[in-house]
Amino acid sequence: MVGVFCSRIRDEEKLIFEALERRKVCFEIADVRHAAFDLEERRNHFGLVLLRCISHSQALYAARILEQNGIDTINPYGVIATCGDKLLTSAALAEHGVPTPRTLVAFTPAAALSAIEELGYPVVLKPLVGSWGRLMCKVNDRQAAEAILEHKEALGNQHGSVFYIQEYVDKPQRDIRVLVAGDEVVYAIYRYSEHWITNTGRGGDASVCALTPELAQLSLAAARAVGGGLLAVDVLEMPDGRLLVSEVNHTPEFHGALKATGMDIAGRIVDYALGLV
Amino acid sequence: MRIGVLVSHLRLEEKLLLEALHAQGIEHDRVTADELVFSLGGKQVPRYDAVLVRCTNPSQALYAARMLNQQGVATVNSYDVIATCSDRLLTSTVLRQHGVPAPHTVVAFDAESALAAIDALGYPVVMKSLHGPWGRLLARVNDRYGAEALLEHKHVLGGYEHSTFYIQEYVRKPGRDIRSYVVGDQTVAAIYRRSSHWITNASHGAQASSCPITARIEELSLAAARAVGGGCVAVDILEADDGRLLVSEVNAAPEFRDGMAPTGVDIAAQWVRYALEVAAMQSGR
Repeated sequence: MVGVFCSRIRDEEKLIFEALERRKVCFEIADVRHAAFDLEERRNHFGLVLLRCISHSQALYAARILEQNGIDTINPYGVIATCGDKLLTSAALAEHGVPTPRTLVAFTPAAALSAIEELGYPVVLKPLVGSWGRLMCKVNDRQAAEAILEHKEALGNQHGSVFYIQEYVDKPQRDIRVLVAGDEVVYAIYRYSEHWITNTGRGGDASVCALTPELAQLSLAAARAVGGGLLAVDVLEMPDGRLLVSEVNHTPEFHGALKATGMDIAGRIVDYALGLV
Repeated sequence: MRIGVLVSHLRLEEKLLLEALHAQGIEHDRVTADELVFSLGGKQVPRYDAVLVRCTNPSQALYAARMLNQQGVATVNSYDVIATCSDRLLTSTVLRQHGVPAPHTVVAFDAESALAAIDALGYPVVMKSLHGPWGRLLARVNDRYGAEALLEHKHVLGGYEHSTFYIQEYVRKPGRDIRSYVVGDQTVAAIYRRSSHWITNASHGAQASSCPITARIEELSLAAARAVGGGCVAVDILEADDGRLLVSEVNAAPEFRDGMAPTGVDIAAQWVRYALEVAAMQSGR
């Protein structure tokens, strides 16, 4: 029995259900929002659980609770913990020698400001947790830096006092997203946008990107660095042609890639999952 | 051998740690988290053989440990231990996994399922935020109206981290809890914390007195410490009225002044001893 844990059911989840049905796999859909997890209870009727929760914390804690009961999840808890936190992702990438934008971390606005000036404008500030480019900012000058730092400190919550500062990569109005399943690359697409945040969730267009050996190698290395699994690797192209990994996502959306590639992505995801059982 | 003490501001505990290092003639620095900038990637020569992580801000402690560990600097406690202890849900899952007795705990992700879980567990229950020390945002919920009001406030006013509801059986304890201090594989001290408030925490006016380290307390404390990954931790133990001893929390950067005066145990010196062991292991690699 395969479990699919979701919250809101998007097109991606519907396609995954269909792919499971086509393969005549017995599966159960659970809405994590309507389930209480009793830590004393042994839940072991699942051979594998595919986590498709939209909320990072729901995916994270569901994975941990399932792991405690000996149930494999896609992705595993440790991978979700790393990918859900940009600082932990950067640390894992750096440890594995995967090229990434230069990243500094500081704990106060004053130290953050000196780190920003050391990197030189523009820089990018990112919240440690969050997706779809929310609360990411490109900081072009000192006044912007001061304003953002003050607002982050005054209004931010849990990790409001941790400042994640990254070199701005002057990319060609697009980035590359590569879907990795285990040791294989499923697809690579360009995501275009006029905005510096090139996220299809923000309405950017997508097209197929040729999978060069360099790109494939980089994406697989990034996936391995965070622990491996079913992962979407975001790659930035530097003006000098070098490729940098900016993020690794643990519960990728793929509606943009569907249109661009025409691939049966849900089928590939399900086949990868079933290959692990 | 050089030891760093990472602090945000100096509390009594950090002063005692610095004094203990000084008294033992160990080279050391006080490092202020507020001034630090960590760079990810690149090889940096570690300045310290070990760092005692004593920031009061939990996020700072967590990420500073991660950055230091990345640079090859051992920390007390390690990143993994801090990560587990700074999240009550993660603590509960590792305690459960290691068979350490703990209060019955249920987790829910929306108000409706949380309410159903509370009803099923039976009143009173305790709701805790996943993060945050000093007994902050611990709520005892005695009936359904209390539950509804609290859940609504968490939902409407709370941020992202308050959207996971952590619900625990209320343990009827005898007006006190037990805090034991584990250093490595030893339980070095234990105190009772007595209060008229149901939260028996120093910040809620609890009074500390020495608690004999019985075999049961010793064993339970070490099991809890091992479950979170070892190191220097404080284990909070509840004595249930049915005789069970239950581990409610494990703290990775505890205040320990209240453990020193009643017991006469120099906990600061014990932490320093442990840091030196860790540093020696690190440089031996």
